[in-house]
Amino acid sequence: MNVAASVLRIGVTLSCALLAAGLILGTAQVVNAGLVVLMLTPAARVAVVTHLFVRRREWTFAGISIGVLLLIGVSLLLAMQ
Amino acid sequence: MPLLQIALLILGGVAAGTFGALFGLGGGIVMVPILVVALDVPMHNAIATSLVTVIATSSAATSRNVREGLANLRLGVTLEIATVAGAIVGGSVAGLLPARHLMLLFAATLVALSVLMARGRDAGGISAEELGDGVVFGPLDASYHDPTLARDVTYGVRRLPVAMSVSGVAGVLSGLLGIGGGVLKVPVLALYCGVPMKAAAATSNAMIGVTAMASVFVYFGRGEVLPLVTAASVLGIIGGAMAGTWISARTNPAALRRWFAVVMVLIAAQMVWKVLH
Repeated sequence: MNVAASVLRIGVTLSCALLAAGLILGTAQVVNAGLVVLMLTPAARVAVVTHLFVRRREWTFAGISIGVLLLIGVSLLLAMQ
Repeated sequence: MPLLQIALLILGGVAAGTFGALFGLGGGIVMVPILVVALDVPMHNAIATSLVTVIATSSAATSRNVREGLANLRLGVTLEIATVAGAIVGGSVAGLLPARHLMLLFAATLVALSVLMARGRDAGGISAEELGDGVVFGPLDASYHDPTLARDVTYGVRRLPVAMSVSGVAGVLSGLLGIGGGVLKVPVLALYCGVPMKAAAATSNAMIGVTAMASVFVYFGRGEVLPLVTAASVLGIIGGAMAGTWISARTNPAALRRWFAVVMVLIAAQMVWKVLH
């Protein structure tokens, strides 16, 4: 559970650092990197939670969690068209 | 981008974050109008930016909540199926609608929400008694330690189908309007589903990040995420959320809720004005 909290915290902190740096330096790539990190943070959280359910052998919720990841994948696919 | 504009965007984010943290709303409800009305950002770009800010605030808040055991992760992932599906639909449909339709829909939603806010906790709709007791879904039972009550609170989740449907709708609205959707989810979880308020708020906060992420991918794919606008708004809203949390711990924001309902109607009026001009 604490891994999930850390993943979220690191994601937000890292992305904010990149966004601030990108704005100050005026580099689009750093800003974009910050945005990508931020946008992927919730997915990372779901992945961690999935792993947690698997480790606890809560198979129903592991399955549901994987379902959420699959739906996120659908969204990514739609985005890449 | 001129420094002044970046500064204004950051300020706008701070305002959104402060209000959001004070009133337990995602920043989206305030963020989108600020961007569209005050800063002349086109509606689709404003929605995209707002969704990214929702990801930021949700992730920051959830990081704390998960550590304290408040967020019910089993309930969260279950409802996320509905909410993520809804978000994909909402985000996709938004691509087919012209900006002014989305702005009018946003204004209408603001008015509806302000009515709910003004009426308070026993707001309209079906009463819990009318829905019947509802089955408790055992696997979703959870408990957390409440320091203010100095004990552990245990609860079960009832009426999961209601929660799923509302989550689906909240997801669609999130993708369509750039809001978090928590304004729908928290009352339903707390009033109909037997989830204590703190746990409802924490669970909702965890979900809205995933919801916003699902729809923002669709906007990103359409090229509607403006990097600099979004960066400035995110930095602003994180600062604002910290300020809002600090203020909220020292005041009683509940009394301000009715005034905020009035503010929301005014904001809705401004959105409509913007459409007409």
